[in-house]
Amino acid sequence: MTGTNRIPGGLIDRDKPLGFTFNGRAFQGFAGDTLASALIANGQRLIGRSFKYHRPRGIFTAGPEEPNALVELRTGASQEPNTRATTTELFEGLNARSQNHRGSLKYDIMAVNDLFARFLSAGFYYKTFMWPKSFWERVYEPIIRASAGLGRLSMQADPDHYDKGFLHCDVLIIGAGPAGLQAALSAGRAGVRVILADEDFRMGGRLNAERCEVAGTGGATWAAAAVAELESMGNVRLMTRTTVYGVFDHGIYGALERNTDHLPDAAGAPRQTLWRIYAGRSVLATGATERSVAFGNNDRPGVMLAGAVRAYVNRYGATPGRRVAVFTNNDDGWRTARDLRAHGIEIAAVIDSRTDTAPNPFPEVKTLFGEAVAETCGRGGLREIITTGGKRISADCLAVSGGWTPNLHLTCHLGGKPVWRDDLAAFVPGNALPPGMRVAGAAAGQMTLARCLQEGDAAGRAVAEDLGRAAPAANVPKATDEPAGITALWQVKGARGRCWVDLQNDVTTKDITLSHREGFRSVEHLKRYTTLGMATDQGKTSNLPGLALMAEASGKTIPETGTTTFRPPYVPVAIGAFGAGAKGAGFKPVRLTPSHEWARDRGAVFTEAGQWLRAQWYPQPGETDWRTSANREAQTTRNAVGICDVTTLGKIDIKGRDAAAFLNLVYTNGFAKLPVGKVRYGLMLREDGIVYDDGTTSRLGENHFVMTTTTANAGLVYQRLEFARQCLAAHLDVHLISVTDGWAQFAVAGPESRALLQKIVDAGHDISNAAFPYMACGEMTVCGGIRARLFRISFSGELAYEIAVPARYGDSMIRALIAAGEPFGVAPYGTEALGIMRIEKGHPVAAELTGQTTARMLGMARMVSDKKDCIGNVLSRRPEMTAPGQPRLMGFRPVDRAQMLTAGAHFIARGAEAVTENDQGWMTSVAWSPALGHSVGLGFIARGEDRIGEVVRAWDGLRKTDIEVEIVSAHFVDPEGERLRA
Amino acid sequence: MPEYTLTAQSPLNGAEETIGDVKIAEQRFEIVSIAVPQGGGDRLSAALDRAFGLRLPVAGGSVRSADGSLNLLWTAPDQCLLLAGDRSIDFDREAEAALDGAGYVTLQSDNWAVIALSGGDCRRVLERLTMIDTGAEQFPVGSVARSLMRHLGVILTRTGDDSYLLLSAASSALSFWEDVRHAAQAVAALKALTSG
Repeated sequence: MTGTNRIPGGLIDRDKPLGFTFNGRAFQGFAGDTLASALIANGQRLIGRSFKYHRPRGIFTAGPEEPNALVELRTGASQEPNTRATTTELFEGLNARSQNHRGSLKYDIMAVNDLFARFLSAGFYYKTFMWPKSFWERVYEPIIRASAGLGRLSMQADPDHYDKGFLHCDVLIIGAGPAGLQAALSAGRAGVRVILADEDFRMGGRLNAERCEVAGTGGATWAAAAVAELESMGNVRLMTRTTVYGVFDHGIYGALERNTDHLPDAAGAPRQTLWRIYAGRSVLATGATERSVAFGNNDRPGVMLAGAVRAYVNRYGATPGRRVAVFTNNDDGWRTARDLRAHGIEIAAVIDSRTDTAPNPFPEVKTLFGEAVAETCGRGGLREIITTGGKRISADCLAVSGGWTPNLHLTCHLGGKPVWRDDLAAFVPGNALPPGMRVAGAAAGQMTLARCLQEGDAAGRAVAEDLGRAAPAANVPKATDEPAGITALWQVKGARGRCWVDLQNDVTTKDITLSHREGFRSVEHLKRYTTLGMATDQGKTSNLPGLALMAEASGKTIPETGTTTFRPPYVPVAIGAFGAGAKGAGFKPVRLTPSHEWARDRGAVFTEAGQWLRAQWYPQPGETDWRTSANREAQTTRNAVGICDVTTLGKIDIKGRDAAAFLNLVYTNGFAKLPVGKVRYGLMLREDGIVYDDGTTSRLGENHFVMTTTTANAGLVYQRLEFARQCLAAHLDVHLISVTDGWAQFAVAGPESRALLQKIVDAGHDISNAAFPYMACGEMTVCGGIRARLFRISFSGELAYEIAVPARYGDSMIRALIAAGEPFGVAPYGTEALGIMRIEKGHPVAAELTGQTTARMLGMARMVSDKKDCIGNVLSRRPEMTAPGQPRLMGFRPVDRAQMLTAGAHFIARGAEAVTENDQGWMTSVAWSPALGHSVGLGFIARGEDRIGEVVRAWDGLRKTDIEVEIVSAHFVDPEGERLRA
Repeated sequence: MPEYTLTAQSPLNGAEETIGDVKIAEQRFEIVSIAVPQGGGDRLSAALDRAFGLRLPVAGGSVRSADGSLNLLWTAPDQCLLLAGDRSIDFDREAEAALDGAGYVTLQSDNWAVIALSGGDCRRVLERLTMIDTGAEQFPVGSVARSLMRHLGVILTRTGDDSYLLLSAASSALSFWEDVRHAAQAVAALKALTSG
């Protein structure tokens, strides 16, 4: 069954039949068909229902500008709405359904909207749904929600994956019609690195749709030969099914390549690839898009663009009708009559609105000059047209040509504005093009074939010359220029019935007049008020007629009226493509510590610390509550020994003759005199004097230091150090490199920590208290000669060390440490226990370093040396930051020990009202202390250092608590630091 | 006899996979960074020559030893990275001694996960990963670039006509491997579509 409207010829492959369904009915097409051409071949005229009025609609165009033939494609999770049948390549088993109707396509219940068209004109929703107010949420909104929108989602996760990539070339040629192909040939033959991209699955542009001759052969044949030559060039990359959707800064273009949309099955390949193309130069050869004319009921199935009719009969071997009328205001429309005649299709009439054209070239065809189509008849599909002269002509297809509009969108993406050409009745690219871009062919307003080839050739050769490459002698294939005269006609005077301008959003000429009447003057307002140009076709066939009609209504010229702003993307792009690779685990990388696998097997619960996964606690069998686990870990560490993976803290290796001087610059306190083999705690300020990080730095050699930073700030500190090194102190000989990942580092803390380590550290390295006191560091060996570094530092406040080995031994090391600690009752501890212990000791972390914290507030004012400069020193001494009454970091404990403190509570005097004026500070960190048996907190309170013993309230408006707390020292456990020095 | 012994592991556990026309495999090197002391470029270059038969690479380039076991990559105006095959974990000490103070040497071996990417389609894979122009003419053998691949910092160098080394932080090695593997799979799957 070849289809009732199949005709011979075309670029389809009749040896490859393909079965597909539309609304459940089985049809047949061929390889090379689009869904639209196959439906036309099968005589299917009714394809969908319009957005607002639910009018019957059919195929209008043969390209991405299609406003009517939008279908739901595929089933299940792959179902996608608003798919243009005109650009959907046919494949075996394709399943498409019409959209936007309740009930069948033929008998859509919602067509009743058309009867209420008077009340549904532009902007009607600004004037309705207001009364009664209570109806809005319960009645109006649900109704609007149900009827709004076009197409339906499957509501299932997208089963496809997408990917992204980056391409580079000397010139990106956008569009592979005659101009683009010739530009690619000229540039490619000169050895230029070319990318040629076309949205179609077959390169050639209009050459594939027209009966024309190039170099003595058919246009499509020449195009195929050109593609073959380009394919043989190693410096040319051809990309079909690829839309260049946007121009961005710095010669960057966005392109979407559709890899599997033409196949039944993606077979594991990415469905689409989003490309970022770096091109120093580009040639925009995107051709032009035809437009219609506004006349009565010009939206019926069977009314099509004249150039599209030619595409169907010439390229796809399918005729949209058996008795076709042509309505045109320009010479190009006549080519449709000529081609229909060549295919033996009956021409009902040719109606040319102009009065100054040559005599009828088809004597046997009825021709009318100086007349126009006033209205059409045939609700389910065109039956008859009526002219302004009153003649009734029966026809089942009306091919309309209102002229061609250059596709200049990309020339305006960086803010350029097009210029008006009266002779074309269209805009062409202006002078301010994106840097490096040339325009060739119909996109530049060079509307005829020979000129397209010439201009494309000139563009390609100009690019080659720009790049200093020998351009081959001009070798433009022979072709002729077809006639291209036009007299503008935007709407038919004497039209009867509504005249459509934007078919997809159902915007008519009445809406445009209405918007003018209501006072909208800017074309941008016209667009938003009427929604003209705002549908998925982005107004490709309607923008120019719309603004032309607005110009007429306001009495201005078209150039005075101007265009709306062109923005990327040129066609809709799936969000999945923009987010390629970012689904699920792909969203961000994960950093794992050397002990991760061991911790995971041990049942640890993990938390995210920046990009790292850190063990938060290690539940033991029977422990159902995190606090139980964390308390146990903290108590075991304080009473015996605990082990924590601290690899995540930044480690920066610093070397150089002036390394010590550099540290003096970046730290508030002095480091120049730190002896080799010692560690010192340091504070870092921003330029404005605010504390931004703290850590310890160890001196391993005369010119060798290792600095630690907090986990979260590792990258930031490194960045700031590099800035200081390169820009602030470029005269210093100092060099940095991160060693965070390279060393697996474990805290070993608790009274038994030394005993444990003595089983790990090789004999010959004395780590007794005398030989290796608090804040000592050194290189040594462990486990029979493995190199290691040992630091005697403590975050927990217990006798503690950090032991580091090259990360390759990290997994092995945690197992050895745990095994060595068994006799002591060792427990691994995670970030929760770590947090409990540091709060008990009053150590600040990010919760205290808020970006407004000064050293003074931390009680560390004396750490900012006045004997040397450092980054932030000067501004840290600003009067506001040193005035009396500053907040001070203090400890807080509830008067009623059973109460649980909350972080974020604010301190207010007893009996005072909880208002901002009475705010004395806030709680920064809290924990239930297993060592003390009650809740404790850290926080900032004005003049805290002078108020020890005073009772205030911790008021929490969010959690509705108001707890009396006593101000105490922030060092709850072992305030004298005796355990540290044991 | 020590009571506990430590065994070594690599970030990718020797992972290796052939996907279509490319092969990806973890490669192990001992790695040191060598920083150029201020004003000491010539002295360091001479010392590199004496010690290893190398010299300081130019920006964006690399230098290989005659026997191919050493590859010195430019990484910053005053820094380079030395990749050494067949050496021990103490290579930094060996290098420091050999350079006799002419350069600042820091151990980097376990900081990096290294993936060797090879095969006819390797540039198609790289297209999906990096915005660096890795065209055969634009990124000749020996070139070095520092870039981002997805969200990870990467050092990229071309070691042969169709072979590259990719270095990224060891802690995110598994994410790194997945990114490269994913790109290779996309290339292979797309190729199968057009040929199949």
